[in-house]
Amino acid sequence: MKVLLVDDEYEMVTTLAERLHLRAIDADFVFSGKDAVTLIMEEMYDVVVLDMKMPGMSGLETMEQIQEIRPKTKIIFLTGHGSVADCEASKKHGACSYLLKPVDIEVLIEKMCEALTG
Amino acid sequence: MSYNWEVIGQSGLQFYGKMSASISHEFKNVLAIINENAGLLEDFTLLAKKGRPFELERLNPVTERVMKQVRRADGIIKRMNTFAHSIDQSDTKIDLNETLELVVALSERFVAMRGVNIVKTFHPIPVMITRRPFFLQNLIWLCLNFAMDAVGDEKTLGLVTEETKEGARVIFTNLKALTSGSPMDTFPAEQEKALLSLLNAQLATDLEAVELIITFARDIRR
Amino acid sequence: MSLIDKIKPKFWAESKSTDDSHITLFDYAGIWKYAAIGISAIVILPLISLLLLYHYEHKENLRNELIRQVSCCSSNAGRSVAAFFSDRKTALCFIAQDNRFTDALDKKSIVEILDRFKIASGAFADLEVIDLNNETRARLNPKDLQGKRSANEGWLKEVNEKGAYVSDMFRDPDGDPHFLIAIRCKRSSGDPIILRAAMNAETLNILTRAFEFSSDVDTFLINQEGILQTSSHSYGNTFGKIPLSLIPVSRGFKVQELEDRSGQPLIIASAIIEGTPFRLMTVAPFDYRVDGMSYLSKGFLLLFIPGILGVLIIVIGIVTSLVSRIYEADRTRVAVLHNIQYTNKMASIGRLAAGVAHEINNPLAIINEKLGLLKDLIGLKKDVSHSKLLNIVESMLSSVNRCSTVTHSLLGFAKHIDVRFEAVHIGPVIQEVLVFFKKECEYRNIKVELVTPESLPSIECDLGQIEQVFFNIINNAIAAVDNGGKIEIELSTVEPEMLSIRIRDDGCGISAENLRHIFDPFFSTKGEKGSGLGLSITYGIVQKLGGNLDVKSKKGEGTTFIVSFPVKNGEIQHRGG
Repeated sequence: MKVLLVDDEYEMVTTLAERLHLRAIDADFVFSGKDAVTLIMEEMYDVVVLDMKMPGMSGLETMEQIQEIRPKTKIIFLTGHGSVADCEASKKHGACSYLLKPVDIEVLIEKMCEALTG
Repeated sequence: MSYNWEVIGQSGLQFYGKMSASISHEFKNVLAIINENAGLLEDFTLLAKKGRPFELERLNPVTERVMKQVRRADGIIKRMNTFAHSIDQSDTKIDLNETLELVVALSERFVAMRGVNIVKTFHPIPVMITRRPFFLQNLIWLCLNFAMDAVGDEKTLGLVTEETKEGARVIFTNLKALTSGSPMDTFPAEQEKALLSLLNAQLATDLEAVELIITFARDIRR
Repeated sequence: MSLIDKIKPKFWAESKSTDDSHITLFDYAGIWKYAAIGISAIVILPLISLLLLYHYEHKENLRNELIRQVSCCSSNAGRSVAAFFSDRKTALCFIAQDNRFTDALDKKSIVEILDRFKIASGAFADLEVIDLNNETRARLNPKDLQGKRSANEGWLKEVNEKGAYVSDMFRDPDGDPHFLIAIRCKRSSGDPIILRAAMNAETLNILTRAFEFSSDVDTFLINQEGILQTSSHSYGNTFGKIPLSLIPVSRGFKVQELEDRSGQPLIIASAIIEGTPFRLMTVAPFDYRVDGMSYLSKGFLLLFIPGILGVLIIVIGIVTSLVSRIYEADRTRVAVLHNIQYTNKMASIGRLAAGVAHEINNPLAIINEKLGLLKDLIGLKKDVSHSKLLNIVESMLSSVNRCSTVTHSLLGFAKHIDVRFEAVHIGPVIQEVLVFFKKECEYRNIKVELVTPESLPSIECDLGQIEQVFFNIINNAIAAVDNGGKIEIELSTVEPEMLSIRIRDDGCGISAENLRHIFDPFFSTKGEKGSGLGLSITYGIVQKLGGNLDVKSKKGEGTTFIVSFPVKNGEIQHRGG
């Protein structure tokens, strides 16, 4: 499974990537939606884990653009924000899950697997 | 119908202030524990650097403690979020059980400080009434505050929710000190009365069963 | 509660309070007073005027009626009295024609004639035949009723000139009033003789009295000097002087109105009786309080006073009811505004708290991941380098720090929720408020610059409200700027006693059109998102704290909000009590 992590919090995203590596999951990371879109154009990822609030493009905008480029890529939101409106908006646009930070890594991996199989 | 907004507003602000302060304190405690443990890790590391190695397993308890606090902090923040958002909500269908859980959780520090033990006996299924959540929380807090004084030496307070034909009831039980007269002189006061009026609720005391009962009609009349 | 308190309307007491004087619309007690007094006056004054007019008219009518009656009576009485005298003169003339007066000059026969005449006519008390030399030829009554005749020679002159004479009243030896009638009779043969008769005034009394048309009317005779010649009801008996000041009347009759000594208005008709020294007086008191006028007044008042009271009660009732309604409506409005102000405050606090939650979750997540990693490494029995451990620890500590800052701000804000006046330093307040927008500014690359001079005086105000003011304004500024925009906040002292805070953004600006309404309640350019109340409430708060809020803006060029507060030795400078 190839995963792309998108979050502007450096410490968070780097550590999470390292932990996923320890669990034999291939995880790359970028710090903005713009970078994510650029990367997506070149690489194929199974799952993209997105934060909602980022400088520049928001999580939702990033998702829309990714879906245009790679419609088959699964999207999971991992955010500190947690509003019901955002959750519904994300689901409407086709996100597979909506998770809140801080997250239990096991739960995250479970959702990623679900996304690929479901 | 005009409600006493001056009093209600004042009450709401005091309630919000008190709860926010409590949340902040609790959170600060959590941070303090995490801080301490981070310091502990630091110490270990520095020792190791100085040539006093240790088994990494010794770090396990530390990480466990911190993770526990992280989960605790998460809970606190989630509650605060729910609480803060409830202010914006107008008349909504809400679960009385959930509301009581929230208020009890928010007041945890105050309850603990007074040495009171709360025993919850909630209706097995959600008890739905239509009210403005924030003011309902405010009223329940004020009654809980009073009940903690009226609980007497036993320090065990019972909290019951019931569904009735017309609506619902919240009962504070085991108020052994209720019959000693003085608490009832000042309760319900202006704040409670204003909120009861706004929420279309009735307050009653049962001196025999030593209970304080709040009765709600299912829908708010407007 | 006394009766007064029970019926006193609610708005009376409320007018005194000034807490909401900046949002209540009217001075209710004042309006009530003006309305009640005004309307009552408009309703009652015409009524009273009418009553007075009616009263006056009626009085005039009665007066005119009385004058008419008095005139009528006077004229009739005058004619009758004149006729009386005329008759007597004629009778005397008739017997004077009898030759036996001149032929015989026999006293006995003359007395016989006179005696028969007296019996027949009844009125004469004495009859005398006098020749031109003022010598009595014959006399009926041996007593000289008049007394010393020589004292009164004037009568002879008059009788010779005018042919007749009537004397004033005089007392006879018994004290009864009498008068004389004398005629000069030309005879068919011989010299003219004078026939003089004395008459008892009683006849005249009865005659004049007969014309009194009511019990208060007084009809009597007086002479030119004002001495009563017949007795009067009110002014005494014959020979008394009447106490009235009468206008002189030479002939005919006149009606006069005057007041007697007790102030009673009188209507007096005077008629000169031709050929006599007498004046016939008819005196009627003009008591318009009697003659049915009192009954009218009583009945009228009985109707009028309850009527007026009824009108007053209705007017006051209506005015009170109307003002009460306005008051209730205004109170509802004030309550709504309070509700909205409160909701606005809570909403901004709520939004703050929601922002806080987001701020905290990221650091928590970092701690979570870092320790999770450590756990993983330990669990996998991997080697953990010192530097890695330190890195983990550092991350944790910096995250804790971030959380701490936000929590501290939240605690600070929560503490200031209760309204309490204290000395406030604006600089730190703005810094604290800015913490809540830090993340958003980072995301959107908005630069916020805060310029504070070295020392700035504090102002006395409520911390929570000041925070709310700046939160609202900065919130608007952030909403107005584009990503990458700039917000400048500058604190300064303007005059020695004014503190000024300028918040300038380079955002989209406000059109001149919108600028006019910017502080109006419910005015919003945010479409459905904004309630439109933020700025109007901000404006209200600043006003209440004794400050001033101004805005300068140009469409496309940005906006500057200028908040100023007076600084005065820490004294409270807020309005509204």
